[in-house]
Amino acid sequence: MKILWAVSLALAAVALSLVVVFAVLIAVPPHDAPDVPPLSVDAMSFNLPPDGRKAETETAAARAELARLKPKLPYIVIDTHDQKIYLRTEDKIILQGVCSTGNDGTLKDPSADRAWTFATPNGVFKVSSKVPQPWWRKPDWAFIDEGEPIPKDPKERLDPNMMGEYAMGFGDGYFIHGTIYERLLGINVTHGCVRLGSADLEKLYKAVPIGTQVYIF
Amino acid sequence: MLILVAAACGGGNKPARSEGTAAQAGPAAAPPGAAELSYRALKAELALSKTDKPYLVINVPRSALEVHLHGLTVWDCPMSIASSESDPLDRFAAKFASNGQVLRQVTDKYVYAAKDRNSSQTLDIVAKVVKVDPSLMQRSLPERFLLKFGDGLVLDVRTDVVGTPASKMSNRRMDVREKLGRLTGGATVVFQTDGDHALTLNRVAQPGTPTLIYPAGYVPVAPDATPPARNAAPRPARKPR
Repeated sequence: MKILWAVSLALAAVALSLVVVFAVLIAVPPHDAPDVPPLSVDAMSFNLPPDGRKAETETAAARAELARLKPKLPYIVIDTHDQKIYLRTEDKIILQGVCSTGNDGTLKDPSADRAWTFATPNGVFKVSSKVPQPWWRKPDWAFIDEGEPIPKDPKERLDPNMMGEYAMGFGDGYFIHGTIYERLLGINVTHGCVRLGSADLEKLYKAVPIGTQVYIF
Repeated sequence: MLILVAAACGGGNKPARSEGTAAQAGPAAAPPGAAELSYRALKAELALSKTDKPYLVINVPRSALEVHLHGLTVWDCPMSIASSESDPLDRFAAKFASNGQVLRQVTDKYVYAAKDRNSSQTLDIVAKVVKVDPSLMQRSLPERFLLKFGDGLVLDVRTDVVGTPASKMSNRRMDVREKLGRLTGGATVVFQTDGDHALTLNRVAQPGTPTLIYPAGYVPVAPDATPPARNAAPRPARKPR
């Protein structure tokens, strides 16, 4: 009898221990939740006026303000995560293609106190120029990257092949252009510009006017 | 012991500092109506549109998850919901917007499994040519990940990618915690999408990413209804009420 009690107690202790271990494993999260700073926008501070007419007016005004942010014409979206480019409206994709955006690498000039980060900028831009048969005017970093001396003659910076058949500038020296490295499309290998395959580039170039909004995220 | 576990799941991880503001002070106020929620969503989006940072939008009328930038849709994905519950999205939305909140943020993210999109051999070769760390060029296709918004609100994103789990034990523990969380008042929406869509969502949705909800009845900027974008899987039919 005593042995039976002892065995039962031992089994109960083991069972209890297993339950405690299980509970602790479940209670303790598998990873530490990150520290998240508070939201910069306090949506709870936006309250409708109690007066019905005023509420309608304010809602209509907010709606109109949001409408003004939206382009009337199709816009370009560059998804730097998935390496895709779209010409779209809010409701429809008109064109899509695979692209290549900035590699996020950095380059330091060994002989001067300057450095470059090769990222495609995020935000909203506009197509500010359209150039057929563009030539690339190589900036200093292109020579430094190859370990070549920076030429004094500006003509030595010009390369007629690297940018493909068309280029669309969207500010600050960034372009959507073609590439001789189509096999690398889909991987972010560029120095900040957005590269497209020749077929997609031609379609996009012919479809977008100057002033087309470009959204990059 | 069950109570201890349930309480741990309900409280969960370290409390996020931004689980939305507290309920209105003073005597019990009437819950905000659709008009109030819509107004708040409009004003909140106007505020979010002033930065260059993308934010998530749970578009309940369209059953879609969207990424917006400057007030505009730049990515969207129909929420192909996998659930035996009726209207899990409505339940999720009701809980999200309880106390009048239309804006929360991702408080936590958990990736169950993922796989590299590009072969490491290819990237090693490319990295040598462009002189860049190959990890900067790699992209991860997730098999499954959770986005948490506090108060037991979870988006469970699943794809048909077969990934490598970081830790099977951690995954099992997370699964049990999530199931217990649902039993104790949480609201989870499980939805299916393709790997490429999930890749973008997984990278955009980081802890801290603002997440807005367009509640049921939210009137879009253009009052006339417009068809959804066609860049993803066909939209599933909503169960009739």
